[in-house]
Order: sequence, then C-alpha cells, then structure tokens
Amino acid sequence: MFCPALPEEARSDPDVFPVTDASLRVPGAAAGSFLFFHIVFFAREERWSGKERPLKTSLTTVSFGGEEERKEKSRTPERKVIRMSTQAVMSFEVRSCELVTICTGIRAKTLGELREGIRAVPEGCLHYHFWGRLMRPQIGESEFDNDFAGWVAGSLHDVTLAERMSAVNPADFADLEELRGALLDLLDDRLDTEESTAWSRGDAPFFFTRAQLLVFPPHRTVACPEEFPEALRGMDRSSLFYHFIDAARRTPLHCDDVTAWLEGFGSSTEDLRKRLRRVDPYLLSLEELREYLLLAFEEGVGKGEAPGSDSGGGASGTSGGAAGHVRGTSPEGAEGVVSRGGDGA
Amino acid sequence: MTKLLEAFEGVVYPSVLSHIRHLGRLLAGKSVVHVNSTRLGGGVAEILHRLVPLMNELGIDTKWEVITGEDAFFTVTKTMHNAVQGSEKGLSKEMTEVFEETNRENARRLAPIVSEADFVFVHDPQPVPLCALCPERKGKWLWRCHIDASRPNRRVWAYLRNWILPYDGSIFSLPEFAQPMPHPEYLVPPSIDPLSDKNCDLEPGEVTRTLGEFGIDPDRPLAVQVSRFDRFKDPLGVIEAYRLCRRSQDLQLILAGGEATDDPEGSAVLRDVLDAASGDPDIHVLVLPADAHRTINALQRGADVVLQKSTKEGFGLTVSEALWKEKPVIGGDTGGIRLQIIDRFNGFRVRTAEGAALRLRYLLQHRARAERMGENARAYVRENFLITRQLRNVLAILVAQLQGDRERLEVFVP
Repeated sequence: MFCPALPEEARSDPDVFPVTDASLRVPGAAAGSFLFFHIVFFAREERWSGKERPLKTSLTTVSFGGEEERKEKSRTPERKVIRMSTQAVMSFEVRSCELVTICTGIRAKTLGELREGIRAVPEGCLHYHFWGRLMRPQIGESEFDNDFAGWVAGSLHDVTLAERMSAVNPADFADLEELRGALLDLLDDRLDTEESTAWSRGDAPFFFTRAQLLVFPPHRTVACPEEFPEALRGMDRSSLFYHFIDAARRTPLHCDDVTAWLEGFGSSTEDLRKRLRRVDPYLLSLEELREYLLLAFEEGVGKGEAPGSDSGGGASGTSGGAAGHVRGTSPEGAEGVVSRGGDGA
Repeated sequence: MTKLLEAFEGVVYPSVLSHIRHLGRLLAGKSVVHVNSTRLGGGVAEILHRLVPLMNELGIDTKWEVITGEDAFFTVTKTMHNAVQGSEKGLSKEMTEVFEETNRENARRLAPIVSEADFVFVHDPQPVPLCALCPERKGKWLWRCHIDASRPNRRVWAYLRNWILPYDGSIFSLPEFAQPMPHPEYLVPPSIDPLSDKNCDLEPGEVTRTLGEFGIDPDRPLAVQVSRFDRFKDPLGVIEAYRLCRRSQDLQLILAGGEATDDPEGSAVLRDVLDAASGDPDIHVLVLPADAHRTINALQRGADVVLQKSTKEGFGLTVSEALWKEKPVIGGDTGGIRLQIIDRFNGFRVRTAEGAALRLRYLLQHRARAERMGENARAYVRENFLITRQLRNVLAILVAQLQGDRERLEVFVP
C-alpha cells in the first residue's frame, strides 16, 4: 500500500518487520505452519536480494520450540522447502480484530494546536485518524476522508484546507512519518498564508485518539478463490479492516492479505489480483469495500492465465503480504497474548 | 456457546459472539467487581444487570456491589454529578466530609471483596474514592465515567481528579468527556440490551393496552420522552416544544420518568414539570417505578416520535432504545446523542424548543420519511449500540490492561 519496496534496514528490524501475514497457513499440520512461514519468506528474500538472508524477523513472537531453537532456525535456512509448490496447499484464514480506543489527552482548538498535535502524537494516532473512522459508527458518505480534514471543515470552517488535507492519500507515502511530514507542510503553508487561521478557535476541539489492536484467532478458512465470496459475505467489518486496512500497515510490502494469498495460485488469479490492487480503501467504507471485492471476485475468478503457468511459487509480483502464520501458544505468558509492538508504515 | 450469549444469535454477526468467546476464555477464572451507587434506575444499573450475568457466563467471576449512604451523601453526589456536567454550584467542606466519610464506611465494608479482585470497575463519581481508600488492592482498577465531563466545574473536578489518579485506567463514553489523566483513557460508548424487557419485541395488543391504561388515545399522534426528571433532560423544553407544535398539529405528549435512588433532586424537577403541564389533558406525566421496563417499552413503541431533548447528556441510552424500536428520535445536540442520531437519517438533533417543535411537525407531516428513518434507526443500533459490542469492548480492555500498553496484541486462545 504505502510503498513497493521495503527499506533495507526495515527488513532486519523486528519492530518494523514484526508480524508475518496472519492469514495463511498450511492446513492439517501444526509444524506445517512453521514450514510454510519459511517457504514464503525464503522466496521473498530471494526475490529481494538475489541471495539468502537470515530469517530472524518475526520468529520472536512464535512458540514452536525454545528460544534457542528459534534462533537456530533463523540462522539455518531450510533450502529444500523453497522448491515446494504452494498451489493447493494454502488456505486463507479469516481473522477479525478489535480496536481498543484510547484518548491521548492531546486536544486542539485552533489550527496551530492541530499542527502541534500532529507533530507530537505517536504514529498510531495518525493511523487511527486516517483509518479508524472505518470502525466507528458511519452512515452515508463523508465529505472528507480523514478526521483531520473533517475537523478543519466542520469545526474551523476552513473548507479550502480541508479539501487539501482530505486529498492526502496515505497510500502515496512510504510510511506514517512521511505522511506526518506532508500534513505538517500543508498546515504550515496555510498558517503562513492565512495568519488569522492560526488563532481562530474551532466550534469544538479535536481530540487526538489512538487504538490498540487485538487480533483474534482465525474463525474460518477458505481453501480456494472460488470459496472466498461466500466467506466475504459473512465477514464482519473488523475482518475487512484487519485483512485490508491493517494488512497494509502490518505486512512488509503493504499489501492486503487477500491479494497476497491469491499470489499463491499463480497466474490463474492474475486478473483478479489486478482488480484488487485497484481498490482504494481510503475512499470506501468497509461495506463498500465488501461490495467492491465481491464484484471483483465475481468478475475476476478464473479470468487469469491458465492454471499451471505458475508465476513462481506464489511469492512474486508486487504483493508483500504472503507469509505463513505461525500458530501456537504465547511465549509471553499464560494469557495467550502476543504483543507485536509498534509497526512500520 | 453459553446460554445468555446464544440468545444473541441471529441478532448480531456470528463473529461478534466468537470474539466474546475468545476474550472470555482468556479471562476465565479472573475475578471482576463492579461498584456503583444504585441497583435500580438509570442507564448504569441497566447495563450492569445484563453485563454481570454475561461475564459470569463466560467464566469470569463477576460481582456487582452497591455503595450505601444516607440522603445527605446522595445530595452531595447529585451536586457533584451536576458539577461534573458543568453546573457552577460547588462543594462545601462539609459536603466533601460527608462524601469521604460515607466512602470510608463503604471501603471498610467492601475491602475484602474489592482488594482481592483481579479487576474492579468503579462507576461514576459517587464511589470514586474507593480506589485510594483500598490501599491493599491487588488488581487493576478502572474508573468508568458515564457522564458528560467535557466542561466540568473546575474546582469540583480538581477535587475528584485526586481520587481518580490512583486508578490504572479510566473509561469514557466519548473523547469529549475525557479529561487529561496520567493513565490510559479508554473510549467505550454504552449500549442497550435488545433482549431485555425494555427492548424486546411486544405484541401490538400489549402496546395498545398499555397506552389505554394511561388514558392515551392510540389513534392520535403521540410524542414520548422517557428519562429521569432531571433539569439536564430539559422536560420543560419538551413541554414548550409540544405547545409550539400543537399550534398546527394534533399531538399527545408523554413525559415518563423513572425513579432512581441516587437522585434526590428529581422530586423538585417533577414538581416544576407538573406545574408546567397542569391544565392540559394531552400531557401525561408518568412517574414509573424503576422496574417498569415493559411499560416503557410499550410507551416507546406506541409513540410516533420519541424525544430526548437533553441539554447535557452522558450518553442518553433512551435514544438507542427508541431507535431500536424503529422510531425517529429528536434529540438534544449534546454528548452521546450526537453519536446516536444522524440528522435526517434516523432523527434530528436540536438545540432549542423551537427546533424540536419544527422537527416534530416535520415527522408528523412526512409519515413515509419518518418510517424510513425508523428502519435506518434499527439497523444503526444493531451495528453499533447493542450490549454485545460493549461487552466485547470491556473484555478487550481487560486483556489490554493485563498486557500493557502495546499497539498490537494477538489473542491466542488457551
């Protein structure tokens, strides 16, 4: 979503590259999940660098074997699994999530204060104000597509600036820091040219908010693209949020989980993947996103190249989300919860 | 799936129940205590009546304790409640002494229960000192503020804030209500229980019968406001709106107020309402017992339009109750009502009696539009304001409290 390639340092930074795509696994075998994790990541590493790289990322959160075993596995690539075909062994795991919404305590009453808030808040807060609206009560079309623009229009009545802020599409930026920079530039320009706006008070304050994301275990698996529309119809909004919005932030190449999964089916899903990549969730509600996806599947399934012309073991193209989800008990205690820390983009 | 939760099948998405079950497994065996100031009347008690059994059914050992006090204590807490919602009247030294002494007595009584609990939810300002007064506490304590604290009386808030500081977190219904605190401030809008007596489906005959019992003509237009007799609910403004509307439309009005044991000011407001309504046989002021849930249900269902013309509102659950019954609602443009009413989609938000009168006339004139708004209203509540959503939020906060302030938590069910 944000960028087509992952920076070099990010690939080896467990905080930036902490979570595998949580939607794919090899069904039927606990160890298979671990195995599959390697399959995808080796393939990807080879694509990126043309040589093997240690796979120390993301294993910090799984519980197969002890710490030493995990470290050892990260140092010792199992080359043979790279050559396994991914076709017909992957299933898509439908997950859902819960946002625990938290006030930051920072509020803005003027444009100047909004600028200071945007400068100071954690990245997660920016993400929430661009995407969290999708998980809130929402009716009809909003004129402005992020909370900042909505407040500038509705409370400060500065529609010119609101239009510009609403046009800031997070997909155009490599990460949230770049997005922050773009917002600050816009605000600085406005504050420079319209000095009075710095001091005029909004009708109501803007409340900077952030969220913790709780990700639930899979509650359904989908074996093939033909089955996906039915699953899609039954998904609640949080599943759509997790697989399309959160995935763009969670996965190394900022791709949605479904497109990443479809890559495993090779060129037979190419047309469908193209359709999915054209989706711009920034301009859609989650219900609209669902409708769009259903249409894309209806028109796109089976419209790709003939099966068998595999495009490379399921990890090619522009997707970055494909990686196995490693299941098991938490290494962090009896509560069974694994923290994945802050994310990158 | 547990029995109480089973009843929600077909009402909410299956994944909602699945989330609740996952979270319940993570928290099974933990002990939770809710503490508030009344078991009857008001939105908090209603939520706890359903939330506590649901949490128990999930294997979370959940208790509900109520603080006790003399009339003087509840007079103080009512003043405090009003001050948190912006009233200028402050607290005297004598009042804070009554407040603290009553809380000390309750702390002594409740200490054996709350000190050992894994989680304690303290609801609203009345019992807020309990956390500081239980220094032997072992678990996580959360202060749940159900009222509109967006513009509190600063002196009273400064006093309360000292009692709130020791908590591990606070929970507010809206970001506007949150005041800066050094601990996490979670946002959880409240909810209604669609299966309770107050919100369950009723036979049309029961609705007609109930209206008849109060002398209301079921064939004439009817507007209803259900809420405590409280100045912030603006019952006098509702009467004024009714009178303005009556200039051009036939209309009956019901002002139905419940009794709450922690609201000593109610009787004074009720007297003012009765004075304002006197002489008009089409204004029905009903003082209902706190457990008259089916009656309230029938009155809301019998209405053409429901009002909640509050000037200050913690959340205003009566709005969601009416929306669930497919009624368009005219609500005060304040607090949580803003979250529940989307203008022209499921009702109207108003600031004045004149505005309320205009919208009343509109809805009585445009029956088909009112009906469409009613359909929208139910769908909106189903998605956003049912108790399953709140239970999910509350359990998620408990998990988050156990795991610390991390941005991403992946739930592994044991």
